[in-house]
Amino acid sequence: MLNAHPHIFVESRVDLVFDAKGFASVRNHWTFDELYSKAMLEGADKDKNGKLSPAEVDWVREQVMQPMRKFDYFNYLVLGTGFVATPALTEFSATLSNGRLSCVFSLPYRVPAGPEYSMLLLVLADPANYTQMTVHLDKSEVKSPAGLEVDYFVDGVADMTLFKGLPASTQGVFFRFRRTP
Amino acid sequence: MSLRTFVVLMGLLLVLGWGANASADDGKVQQRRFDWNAAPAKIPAAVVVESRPALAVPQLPTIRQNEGWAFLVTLQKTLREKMASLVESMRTGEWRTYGWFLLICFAYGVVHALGPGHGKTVVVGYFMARRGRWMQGVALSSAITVVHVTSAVVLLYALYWLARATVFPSFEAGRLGMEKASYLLLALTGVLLVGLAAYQALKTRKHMEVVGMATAREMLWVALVTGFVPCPAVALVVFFCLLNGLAWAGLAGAFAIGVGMALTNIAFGLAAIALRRGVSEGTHWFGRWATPLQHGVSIAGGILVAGLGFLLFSATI
Repeated sequence: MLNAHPHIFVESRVDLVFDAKGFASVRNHWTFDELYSKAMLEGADKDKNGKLSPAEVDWVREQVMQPMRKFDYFNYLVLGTGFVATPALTEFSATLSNGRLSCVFSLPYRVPAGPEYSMLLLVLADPANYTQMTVHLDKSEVKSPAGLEVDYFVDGVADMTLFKGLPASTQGVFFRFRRTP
Repeated sequence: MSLRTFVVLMGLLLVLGWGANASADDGKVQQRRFDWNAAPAKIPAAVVVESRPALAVPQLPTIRQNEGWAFLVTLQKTLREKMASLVESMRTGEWRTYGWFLLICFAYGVVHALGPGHGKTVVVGYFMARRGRWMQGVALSSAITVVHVTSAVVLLYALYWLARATVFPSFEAGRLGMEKASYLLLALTGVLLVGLAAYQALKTRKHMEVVGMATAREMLWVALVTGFVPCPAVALVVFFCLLNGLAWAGLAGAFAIGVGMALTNIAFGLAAIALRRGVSEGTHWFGRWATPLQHGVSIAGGILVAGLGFLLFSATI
Protein backbone atom coordinates (compact mmCIF):
# COMPACT_ATOMS: atom_id res chain seq x y z
CA MET A 1 0.00 0.00 0.00
CA LEU A 2 1.20 3.46 -0.82
CA ASN A 3 3.03 4.94 2.15
CA ALA A 4 1.24 2.42 4.23
CA HIS A 5 2.48 3.34 7.72
CA PRO A 6 4.43 0.41 9.09
CA HIS A 7 2.76 -2.91 9.79
CA ILE A 8 5.97 -4.90 10.15
CA PHE A 9 8.95 -3.80 12.25
CA VAL A 10 12.45 -5.06 11.59
CA GLU A 11 15.65 -4.49 13.57
CA SER A 12 18.53 -4.91 11.17
CA ARG A 13 22.26 -4.73 10.59
CA VAL A 14 24.23 -5.01 7.38
CA ASP A 15 27.81 -6.09 6.82
CA LEU A 16 29.87 -5.25 3.76
CA VAL A 17 31.82 -8.27 2.58
CA PHE A 18 34.82 -8.04 0.24
CA ASP A 19 36.84 -10.83 -1.31
CA ALA A 20 39.99 -10.94 -3.42
CA LYS A 21 38.11 -9.71 -6.52
CA GLY A 22 36.44 -6.72 -4.91
CA PHE A 23 33.09 -6.00 -3.30
CA ALA A 24 31.36 -9.35 -2.90
CA SER A 25 28.10 -8.98 -1.02
CA VAL A 26 25.93 -7.32 1.57
CA ARG A 27 25.20 -9.57 4.52
CA ASN A 28 21.81 -8.76 6.04
CA HIS A 29 20.81 -9.59 9.62
CA TRP A 30 17.11 -9.01 10.26
CA THR A 31 14.97 -9.61 13.36
CA PHE A 32 11.20 -9.23 12.99
CA ASP A 33 8.84 -7.89 15.64
CA GLU A 34 7.05 -10.33 17.91
CA LEU A 35 3.58 -10.06 16.37
CA TYR A 36 4.75 -10.61 12.81
CA SER A 37 7.15 -13.36 13.91
CA LYS A 38 4.37 -15.25 15.67
CA ALA A 39 2.08 -14.89 12.65
CA MET A 40 4.68 -16.26 10.23
CA LEU A 41 5.99 -18.95 12.54
CA GLU A 42 2.51 -20.41 12.87
CA GLY A 43 3.05 -21.59 9.30
CA ALA A 44 6.80 -22.11 9.45
CA ASP A 45 7.30 -24.12 12.62
CA LYS A 46 5.18 -27.06 11.51
CA ASP A 47 6.28 -29.48 14.23
CA LYS A 48 5.84 -26.75 16.89
CA ASN A 49 9.16 -27.57 18.53
CA GLY A 50 10.33 -23.94 18.67
CA LYS A 51 13.15 -24.62 16.22
CA LEU A 52 13.35 -24.34 12.47
CA SER A 53 14.37 -27.42 10.49
CA PRO A 54 15.97 -27.01 7.03
CA ALA A 55 12.55 -27.56 5.41
CA GLU A 56 11.00 -24.95 7.70
CA VAL A 57 13.81 -22.51 6.90
CA ASP A 58 12.96 -22.99 3.21
CA TRP A 59 9.35 -22.16 4.02
CA VAL A 60 10.47 -18.90 5.66
CA ARG A 61 12.62 -18.07 2.67
CA GLU A 62 9.69 -18.58 0.30
CA GLN A 63 6.94 -16.97 2.37
CA VAL A 64 8.79 -14.16 4.16
CA MET A 65 11.69 -13.15 1.93
CA GLN A 66 10.55 -14.05 -1.57
CA PRO A 67 7.70 -11.46 -1.62
CA MET A 68 10.35 -8.82 -0.87
CA ARG A 69 12.31 -9.74 -4.00
CA LYS A 70 10.42 -7.19 -6.08
CA PHE A 71 11.34 -4.53 -3.51
CA ASP A 72 15.04 -5.46 -3.73
CA TYR A 73 14.86 -6.83 -0.16
CA PHE A 74 14.93 -3.11 0.74
CA ASN A 75 18.65 -3.02 -0.10
CA TYR A 76 19.58 -0.20 -2.45
CA LEU A 77 23.15 -0.05 -3.70
CA VAL A 78 24.09 3.10 -5.58
CA LEU A 79 26.89 3.20 -8.12
CA GLY A 80 27.23 6.37 -10.14
CA THR A 81 23.75 7.76 -10.71
CA GLY A 82 21.86 4.48 -10.65
CA PHE A 83 21.08 1.44 -8.56
CA VAL A 84 23.04 -1.76 -8.97
CA ALA A 85 20.65 -4.54 -10.02
CA THR A 86 19.73 -6.57 -6.93
CA PRO A 87 20.75 -10.22 -7.16
CA ALA A 88 18.76 -13.12 -5.71
CA LEU A 89 19.57 -13.73 -2.08
CA THR A 90 21.99 -16.48 -1.07
CA GLU A 91 23.31 -18.05 2.15
CA PHE A 92 19.91 -17.79 3.78
CA SER A 93 19.32 -18.92 7.33
CA ALA A 94 16.48 -18.38 9.78
CA THR A 95 16.29 -18.89 13.51
CA LEU A 96 13.80 -18.38 16.29
CA SER A 97 14.82 -16.70 19.52
CA ASN A 98 12.67 -15.20 22.30
CA GLY A 99 9.62 -15.41 20.07
CA ARG A 100 11.24 -13.44 17.31
CA LEU A 101 12.12 -14.61 13.84
CA SER A 102 15.63 -13.72 12.67
CA CYS A 103 16.82 -14.06 9.09
CA VAL A 104 20.36 -13.77 7.78
CA PHE A 105 21.11 -13.64 4.07
CA SER A 106 23.58 -12.32 1.53
CA LEU A 107 23.05 -10.28 -1.60
CA PRO A 108 26.03 -11.02 -3.87
CA TYR A 109 26.28 -7.79 -5.87
CA ARG A 110 29.87 -8.40 -7.02
CA VAL A 111 31.61 -5.19 -8.02
CA PRO A 112 35.22 -5.88 -9.06
CA ALA A 113 38.05 -3.77 -7.65
CA GLY A 114 40.37 -1.80 -9.92
CA PRO A 115 43.35 0.46 -9.41
CA GLU A 116 41.02 3.45 -8.98
CA TYR A 117 38.47 3.84 -6.21
CA SER A 118 34.93 2.57 -6.84
CA MET A 119 32.43 4.66 -4.87
CA LEU A 120 29.27 3.02 -3.61
CA LEU A 121 26.45 3.78 -1.23
CA LEU A 122 24.20 1.27 0.51
CA VAL A 123 20.80 2.24 1.91
CA LEU A 124 18.46 -0.15 3.66
CA ALA A 125 14.88 1.10 3.76
CA ASP A 126 11.35 0.36 2.59
CA PRO A 127 10.23 3.36 0.53
CA ALA A 128 6.61 2.18 0.73
CA ASN A 129 6.88 2.19 4.52
CA TYR A 130 4.98 -1.07 4.94
CA THR A 131 7.99 -2.47 6.74
CA GLN A 132 9.78 -0.21 9.17
CA MET A 133 13.49 -0.97 8.92
CA THR A 134 15.42 0.15 11.99
CA VAL A 135 18.98 -0.13 10.72
CA HIS A 136 21.85 -0.19 13.17
CA LEU A 137 24.54 1.04 10.78
CA ASP A 138 26.83 1.74 13.70
CA LYS A 139 27.07 -2.01 14.14
CA SER A 140 27.93 -2.71 10.51
CA GLU A 141 31.02 -4.75 9.92
CA VAL A 142 33.28 -4.36 6.93
CA LYS A 143 35.29 -7.45 6.05
CA SER A 144 38.08 -7.23 3.52
CA PRO A 145 40.97 -9.52 2.56
CA ALA A 146 44.54 -8.45 1.92
CA GLY A 147 45.16 -6.55 -1.28
CA LEU A 148 42.21 -4.16 -0.95
CA GLU A 149 41.81 -0.71 0.56
CA VAL A 150 38.36 0.09 1.90
CA ASP A 151 37.11 3.34 3.44
CA TYR A 152 33.60 3.88 4.70
CA PHE A 153 31.45 6.19 6.76
CA VAL A 154 27.79 6.51 7.74
CA ASP A 155 25.80 9.62 6.87
CA GLY A 156 22.29 10.85 6.02
CA VAL A 157 20.95 10.54 2.48
CA ALA A 158 17.96 12.86 2.72
CA ASP A 159 19.48 15.50 0.43
CA MET A 160 20.16 13.01 -2.37
CA THR A 161 17.73 13.01 -5.28
CA LEU A 162 17.69 9.22 -5.46
CA PHE A 163 16.32 8.99 -1.94
CA LYS A 164 13.97 11.95 -1.83
CA GLY A 165 10.99 9.80 -0.82
CA LEU A 166 12.56 8.41 2.32
CA PRO A 167 12.28 9.81 5.83
CA ALA A 168 14.68 12.63 6.60
CA SER A 169 16.46 10.50 9.18
CA THR A 170 17.46 7.76 6.70
CA GLN A 171 21.15 6.96 6.68
CA GLY A 172 23.39 4.97 4.39
CA VAL A 173 26.89 3.51 4.32
CA PHE A 174 29.14 5.41 1.90
CA PHE A 175 32.14 3.35 0.91
CA ARG A 176 34.95 3.17 -1.59
CA PHE A 177 37.49 0.51 -2.40
CA ARG A 178 40.39 -0.26 -4.73
CA ARG A 179 43.23 -2.68 -5.16
CA THR A 180 46.13 -1.75 -2.93
CA PRO A 181 48.65 0.11 -5.11
CA MET B 1 47.96 2.42 38.04
CA SER B 2 51.16 4.01 36.84
CA LEU B 3 51.16 6.79 34.26
CA ARG B 4 52.93 4.52 31.80
CA THR B 5 50.31 1.77 32.16
CA PHE B 6 47.55 4.36 31.77
CA VAL B 7 49.10 5.75 28.56
CA VAL B 8 49.54 2.24 27.12
CA LEU B 9 45.93 1.37 27.95
CA MET B 10 44.61 4.59 26.40
CA GLY B 11 46.71 3.97 23.31
CA LEU B 12 45.29 0.47 23.05
CA LEU B 13 41.75 1.79 23.40
CA LEU B 14 42.36 4.33 20.64
CA VAL B 15 43.70 1.67 18.32
CA LEU B 16 40.73 -0.62 19.01
CA GLY B 17 38.28 2.26 18.76
CA TRP B 18 39.49 3.29 15.33
CA GLY B 19 37.21 1.52 12.89
CA ALA B 20 35.74 -0.60 15.64
CA ASN B 21 33.61 -2.48 13.14
CA ALA B 22 36.24 -2.85 10.52
CA SER B 23 37.16 -6.49 10.75
CA ALA B 24 39.77 -6.56 8.09
CA ASP B 25 41.17 -9.98 7.30
CA ASP B 26 44.51 -8.36 6.55
CA GLY B 27 42.82 -5.86 4.22
CA LYS B 28 43.11 -2.17 4.96
CA VAL B 29 39.71 -1.03 6.20
CA GLN B 30 39.18 2.38 7.69
CA GLN B 31 36.11 4.16 8.96
CA ARG B 32 36.74 7.70 7.79
CA ARG B 33 35.08 10.42 5.75
CA PHE B 34 35.97 11.10 2.14
CA ASP B 35 34.43 13.05 -0.72
CA TRP B 36 31.99 10.51 -2.10
CA ASN B 37 31.39 12.64 -5.20
CA ALA B 38 35.08 13.30 -5.79
CA ALA B 39 35.60 11.08 -8.81
CA PRO B 40 33.19 10.16 -11.57
CA ALA B 41 31.92 6.65 -10.98
CA LYS B 42 33.44 4.10 -13.30
CA ILE B 43 31.02 1.27 -13.77
CA PRO B 44 32.72 -2.06 -14.39
CA ALA B 45 31.39 -3.95 -17.41
CA ALA B 46 30.26 -6.86 -15.25
CA VAL B 47 27.99 -4.69 -13.11
CA VAL B 48 24.41 -3.96 -14.16
CA VAL B 49 23.31 -0.52 -13.07
CA GLU B 50 19.65 0.32 -13.54
CA SER B 51 18.61 3.88 -14.23
CA ARG B 52 15.44 3.90 -12.21
CA PRO B 53 13.48 6.89 -10.97
CA ALA B 54 14.27 8.20 -7.53
CA LEU B 55 13.50 5.84 -4.69
CA ALA B 56 10.09 7.12 -3.86
CA VAL B 57 6.57 5.87 -4.22
CA PRO B 58 4.10 8.40 -5.63
CA GLN B 59 2.68 10.35 -2.76
CA LEU B 60 0.49 13.28 -2.01
CA PRO B 61 2.35 16.53 -1.47
CA THR B 62 0.87 16.77 2.03
CA ILE B 63 2.60 13.59 3.13
CA ARG B 64 6.04 14.43 4.46
CA GLN B 65 8.11 11.82 6.14
CA ASN B 66 9.66 14.25 8.57
CA GLU B 67 10.79 13.96 12.17
CA GLY B 68 7.19 14.12 13.44
CA TRP B 69 6.35 11.15 11.27
CA ALA B 70 9.42 9.30 12.55
CA PHE B 71 8.16 9.88 16.10
CA LEU B 72 4.76 8.39 15.24
CA VAL B 73 6.43 5.33 13.72
CA THR B 74 8.58 4.79 16.80
CA LEU B 75 5.56 5.23 19.03
CA GLN B 76 3.67 2.54 17.07
CA LYS B 77 6.59 0.21 17.45
CA THR B 78 6.69 0.79 21.21
CA LEU B 79 2.94 0.28 21.55
CA ARG B 80 3.13 -2.96 19.53
CA GLU B 81 5.88 -4.29 21.79
CA LYS B 82 3.84 -3.35 24.85
CA MET B 83 0.81 -5.15 23.41
CA ALA B 84 2.86 -8.30 22.87
CA SER B 85 4.15 -8.28 26.46
CA LEU B 86 0.66 -7.67 27.86
CA VAL B 87 -0.72 -10.58 25.84
CA GLU B 88 2.03 -12.72 27.31
CA SER B 89 0.99 -11.58 30.81
CA MET B 90 -2.65 -12.41 30.12
CA ARG B 91 -1.65 -15.80 28.77
CA THR B 92 -0.01 -16.60 32.07
CA GLY B 93 -3.13 -15.66 33.96
CA GLU B 94 -2.46 -12.02 34.82
CA TRP B 95 -5.87 -10.70 33.79
CA ARG B 96 -5.27 -7.48 35.70
CA THR B 97 -3.36 -6.32 32.64
CA TYR B 98 -6.45 -6.68 30.42
CA GLY B 99 -7.47 -3.05 30.90
CA TRP B 100 -3.99 -1.88 30.01
CA PHE B 101 -4.05 -4.05 26.90
CA LEU B 102 -7.28 -2.42 25.70
CA LEU B 103 -5.93 1.05 26.48
CA ILE B 104 -2.73 0.36 24.53
CA CYS B 105 -4.81 -0.99 21.63
CA PHE B 106 -6.90 2.17 21.65
CA ALA B 107 -3.81 4.41 21.65
CA TYR B 108 -2.29 2.32 18.88
CA GLY B 109 -5.46 2.82 16.82
CA VAL B 110 -5.33 6.60 17.26
CA VAL B 111 -1.67 6.81 16.25
CA HIS B 112 -1.86 4.19 13.51
CA ALA B 113 -4.70 6.03 11.76
CA LEU B 114 -2.69 9.27 11.80
CA GLY B 115 -0.45 7.77 9.14
CA PRO B 116 -1.41 7.72 5.48
CA GLY B 117 -4.37 5.49 4.71
CA HIS B 118 -7.54 4.63 6.66
CA GLY B 119 -9.71 6.89 4.53
CA LYS B 120 -8.92 10.33 5.91
CA THR B 121 -8.26 11.82 2.47
CA VAL B 122 -11.40 10.19 1.10
CA VAL B 123 -13.50 11.65 3.93
CA VAL B 124 -12.00 15.09 3.35
CA GLY B 125 -12.51 14.82 -0.43
CA TYR B 126 -16.10 13.63 -0.03
CA PHE B 127 -17.09 16.42 2.33
CA MET B 128 -15.46 18.97 0.07
CA ALA B 129 -17.54 17.63 -2.81
CA ARG B 130 -20.78 17.33 -0.82
CA ARG B 131 -22.16 19.43 2.02
CA GLY B 132 -22.46 17.42 5.19
CA ARG B 133 -23.90 17.71 8.66
CA TRP B 134 -21.71 17.14 11.72
CA MET B 135 -23.31 13.78 12.45
CA GLN B 136 -22.74 12.70 8.88
CA GLY B 137 -19.05 13.44 9.38
CA VAL B 138 -19.01 11.22 12.44
CA ALA B 139 -21.01 8.52 10.64
CA LEU B 140 -18.88 8.29 7.50
CA SER B 141 -15.56 8.41 9.38
CA SER B 142 -16.73 5.71 11.79
CA ALA B 143 -18.26 3.56 9.05
CA ILE B 144 -15.01 3.45 7.10
CA THR B 145 -13.18 2.27 10.22
CA VAL B 146 -15.83 -0.31 11.09
CA VAL B 147 -15.59 -1.81 7.59
CA HIS B 148 -11.77 -1.64 7.63
CA VAL B 149 -11.48 -3.45 10.99
CA THR B 150 -14.31 -5.92 10.36
CA SER B 151 -12.92 -7.01 7.00
CA ALA B 152 -9.56 -7.73 8.68
CA VAL B 153 -11.15 -9.85 11.40
CA VAL B 154 -13.44 -11.73 8.99
CA LEU B 155 -10.68 -12.45 6.46
CA LEU B 156 -8.27 -13.56 9.19
CA TYR B 157 -10.77 -15.95 10.81
CA ALA B 158 -11.85 -17.31 7.43
CA LEU B 159 -8.24 -18.08 6.55
CA TYR B 160 -7.59 -19.50 10.01
CA TRP B 161 -10.24 -22.14 9.44
CA LEU B 162 -9.43 -22.72 5.80
CA ALA B 163 -5.64 -22.66 5.65
CA ARG B 164 -4.19 -22.47 9.12
CA ALA B 165 -0.63 -23.22 7.98
CA THR B 166 -0.45 -20.19 5.73
CA VAL B 167 -2.83 -17.75 7.39
CA PHE B 168 -0.73 -14.63 7.25
CA PRO B 169 0.88 -15.11 3.81
CA SER B 170 -2.64 -15.85 2.51
CA PHE B 171 -3.98 -12.79 4.32
CA GLU B 172 -1.33 -10.64 2.63
CA ALA B 173 -2.12 -12.10 -0.79
CA GLY B 174 -5.84 -11.54 -0.27
CA ARG B 175 -5.29 -8.01 0.96
CA LEU B 176 -3.24 -7.06 -2.08
CA GLY B 177 -6.03 -8.22 -4.40
CA MET B 178 -8.66 -6.36 -2.39
CA GLU B 179 -6.50 -3.23 -2.41
CA LYS B 180 -6.48 -3.10 -6.18
CA ALA B 181 -10.25 -3.50 -6.40
CA SER B 182 -10.77 -0.89 -3.70
CA TYR B 183 -8.52 1.66 -5.36
CA LEU B 184 -10.25 1.24 -8.70
CA LEU B 185 -13.67 1.65 -7.09
CA LEU B 186 -12.37 4.67 -5.22
CA ALA B 187 -11.18 6.25 -8.45
CA LEU B 188 -14.59 5.54 -9.97
CA THR B 189 -16.28 7.12 -6.95
CA GLY B 190 -14.17 10.23 -7.39
CA VAL B 191 -15.06 10.44 -11.07
CA LEU B 192 -18.75 10.15 -10.14
CA LEU B 193 -18.38 12.93 -7.56
CA VAL B 194 -16.72 15.14 -10.18
CA GLY B 195 -19.54 14.31 -12.61
CA LEU B 196 -22.19 15.12 -10.03
CA ALA B 197 -20.51 18.41 -9.13
CA ALA B 198 -20.19 19.36 -12.81
CA TYR B 199 -23.85 18.45 -13.44
CA GLN B 200 -24.86 20.57 -10.45
CA ALA B 201 -22.80 23.46 -11.78
CA LEU B 202 -24.54 23.34 -15.14
CA LYS B 203 -28.09 23.26 -13.81
CA THR B 204 -27.72 25.65 -10.87
CA ARG B 205 -29.32 29.05 -10.97
CA LYS B 206 -28.25 32.02 -8.93
CA HIS B 207 -29.06 32.06 -5.21
CA MET B 208 -29.92 28.35 -5.17
CA GLU B 209 -28.22 25.93 -2.84
CA VAL B 210 -25.29 25.23 -5.12
CA VAL B 211 -23.69 22.18 -3.52
CA GLY B 212 -25.36 18.79 -3.20
CA MET B 213 -25.89 17.32 0.25
CA ALA B 214 -24.24 14.12 1.40
CA THR B 215 -26.66 11.20 1.44
CA ALA B 216 -26.73 7.99 3.45
CA ARG B 217 -26.55 5.86 0.31
CA GLU B 218 -23.49 7.69 -1.01
CA MET B 219 -21.76 7.52 2.35
CA LEU B 220 -22.43 3.81 2.65
CA TRP B 221 -20.87 3.26 -0.77
CA VAL B 222 -17.83 5.39 0.09
CA ALA B 223 -17.39 3.55 3.40
CA LEU B 224 -17.57 0.15 1.70
CA VAL B 225 -15.17 0.85 -1.17
CA THR B 226 -12.70 2.67 1.08
CA GLY B 227 -12.83 0.44 4.11
CA PHE B 228 -13.08 -3.06 2.74
CA VAL B 229 -9.29 -3.37 2.38
CA PRO B 230 -8.49 -5.27 5.59
CA CYS B 231 -6.17 -3.64 8.11
CA PRO B 232 -3.02 -5.80 8.55
CA ALA B 233 -2.29 -4.19 11.92
CA VAL B 234 -5.63 -5.34 13.32
CA ALA B 235 -5.18 -8.78 11.77
CA LEU B 236 -1.77 -9.18 13.39
CA VAL B 237 -3.06 -8.28 16.86
CA VAL B 238 -6.09 -10.57 16.53
CA PHE B 239 -3.95 -13.43 15.20
CA PHE B 240 -1.33 -12.96 17.92
CA CYS B 241 -4.01 -13.22 20.62
CA LEU B 242 -5.64 -16.17 18.87
CA LEU B 243 -2.36 -18.08 18.75
CA ASN B 244 -1.87 -17.37 22.44
CA GLY B 245 -5.27 -18.85 23.25
CA LEU B 246 -6.85 -15.44 23.85
CA ALA B 247 -9.32 -15.19 21.00
CA TRP B 248 -11.78 -12.97 22.87
CA ALA B 249 -9.01 -10.62 23.99
CA GLY B 250 -7.99 -10.33 20.34
CA LEU B 251 -11.50 -9.37 19.27
CA ALA B 252 -11.77 -6.85 22.11
CA GLY B 253 -8.36 -5.49 21.12
CA ALA B 254 -9.54 -5.12 17.52
CA PHE B 255 -12.57 -3.20 18.79
CA ALA B 256 -10.36 -0.89 20.87
CA ILE B 257 -8.03 -0.28 17.92
CA GLY B 258 -11.08 0.46 15.79
CA VAL B 259 -12.39 3.01 18.32
CA GLY B 260 -8.99 4.72 18.30
CA MET B 261 -8.82 4.77 14.52
CA ALA B 262 -12.38 6.09 14.30
CA LEU B 263 -11.50 8.93 16.66
CA THR B 264 -8.72 10.07 14.33
CA ASN B 265 -10.92 9.69 11.26
CA ILE B 266 -13.78 11.61 12.88
CA ALA B 267 -11.45 14.53 13.63
CA PHE B 268 -10.59 14.72 9.94
CA GLY B 269 -14.23 14.30 8.89
CA LEU B 270 -15.39 17.14 11.12
CA ALA B 271 -12.52 19.34 9.98
CA ALA B 272 -13.53 18.72 6.36
CA ILE B 273 -17.15 19.67 7.07
CA ALA B 274 -16.01 22.80 8.88
CA LEU B 275 -13.79 23.64 5.92
CA ARG B 276 -16.64 23.15 3.45
CA ARG B 277 -18.93 25.35 5.57
CA GLY B 278 -16.22 27.96 5.80
CA VAL B 279 -15.86 27.93 2.03
CA SER B 280 -19.63 28.28 1.60
CA GLU B 281 -19.72 31.24 3.98
CA GLY B 282 -16.57 32.83 2.64
CA THR B 283 -17.48 32.72 -1.03
CA HIS B 284 -20.36 35.16 -0.46
CA TRP B 285 -17.71 37.87 -0.34
CA PHE B 286 -16.82 37.16 -3.94
CA GLY B 287 -20.17 38.36 -5.35
CA ARG B 288 -20.95 36.86 -8.72
CA TRP B 289 -17.93 34.57 -8.43
CA ALA B 290 -19.33 32.91 -5.32
CA THR B 291 -21.29 30.24 -7.16
CA PRO B 292 -18.47 29.21 -9.55
CA LEU B 293 -16.09 29.11 -6.59
CA GLN B 294 -18.33 26.74 -4.68
CA HIS B 295 -18.64 24.49 -7.69
CA GLY B 296 -14.89 24.62 -8.08
CA VAL B 297 -14.37 23.37 -4.53
CA SER B 298 -16.89 20.56 -5.07
CA ILE B 299 -15.16 19.46 -8.24
CA ALA B 300 -11.79 19.67 -6.45
CA GLY B 301 -13.13 17.34 -3.74
CA GLY B 302 -14.13 14.81 -6.39
CA ILE B 303 -10.77 15.14 -8.11
CA LEU B 304 -9.04 14.55 -4.78
CA VAL B 305 -10.90 11.26 -4.29
CA ALA B 306 -10.42 10.17 -7.93
CA GLY B 307 -6.77 11.22 -7.93
CA LEU B 308 -6.10 9.29 -4.74
CA GLY B 309 -7.76 6.20 -6.19
CA PHE B 310 -5.75 6.35 -9.42
CA LEU B 311 -2.52 7.14 -7.55
CA LEU B 312 -2.97 4.20 -5.18
CA PHE B 313 -3.97 1.87 -8.00
CA SER B 314 -0.94 2.86 -10.07
CA ALA B 315 1.29 2.04 -7.07
CA THR B 316 -0.08 -1.52 -6.96
CA ILE B 317 0.67 -2.46 -10.59
